[in-house]
Amino acid sequence: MGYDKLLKLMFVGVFVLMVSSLYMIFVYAPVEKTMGWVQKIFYYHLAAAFTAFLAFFVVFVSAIIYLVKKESKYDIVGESAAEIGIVFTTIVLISGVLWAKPIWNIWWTWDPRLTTTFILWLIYIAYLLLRINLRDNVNMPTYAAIFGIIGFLDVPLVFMSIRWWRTIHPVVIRRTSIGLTKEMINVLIISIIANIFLFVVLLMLRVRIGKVQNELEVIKSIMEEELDRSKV
Amino acid sequence: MIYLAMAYIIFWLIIFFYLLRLNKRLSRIEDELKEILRQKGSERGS
Repeated sequence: MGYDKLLKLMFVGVFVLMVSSLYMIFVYAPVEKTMGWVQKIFYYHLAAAFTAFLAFFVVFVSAIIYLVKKESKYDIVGESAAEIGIVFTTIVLISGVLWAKPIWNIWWTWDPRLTTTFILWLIYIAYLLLRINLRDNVNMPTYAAIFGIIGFLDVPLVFMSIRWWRTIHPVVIRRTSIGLTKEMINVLIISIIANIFLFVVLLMLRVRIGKVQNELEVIKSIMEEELDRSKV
Repeated sequence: MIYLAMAYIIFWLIIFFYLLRLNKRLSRIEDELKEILRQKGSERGS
């Protein structure tokens, strides 16, 4: 199957999964007794957080492979995954703020979970800024890969922050139990799958653009060399 | 309810603007490629 056909199929898959998850969130999932309707933010909030972690894990893995093999395609995958990871972390932060206001009566608090997530967002923005500023440096992909590996250390910190420190953020998934009804778990699983599918489609698109951009840079440098030679 | 609606609308807005950004980047690449082809064409012509 060709790349374009696969991408089109993936788009259809994302559409179907997203519509199904929205239907399940607003129709199938029960309304939580204490928080009411606003609790339904949870399904995309957690799914986006899970997807952001996955994106940063892709950055981490591709950075290691890049350092071993030194092939530019892994650098492109890392850059693309970091960009999409930032998109999903932005969604997590904004949906968290919108959920916090009616429940905690405050938009933002410097709670360990919120703070570590905000730091995670800043780390990967710094990662992209590093890439932009060192664009003309031949060692840029190596520096970015090292940054990507070190930056990933914050992901387990974000996950464990609500277990290690005193926090107002709820712990839904525990080792022994999940604080959700069976219907809520089903909706959560579908939402996570839909978000992962969306991530994969965005990653495929972004990697392709990155590859074309790289090829274009190669063509431009060859043309410049030809121009210089013709001047001599 | 307003917060719930805002959260889901903002989710799709962020994804939409990201796709728009990717599309803009693709258009820029396309323009640069056209420019290269035009230059090559004029070189051959002369």
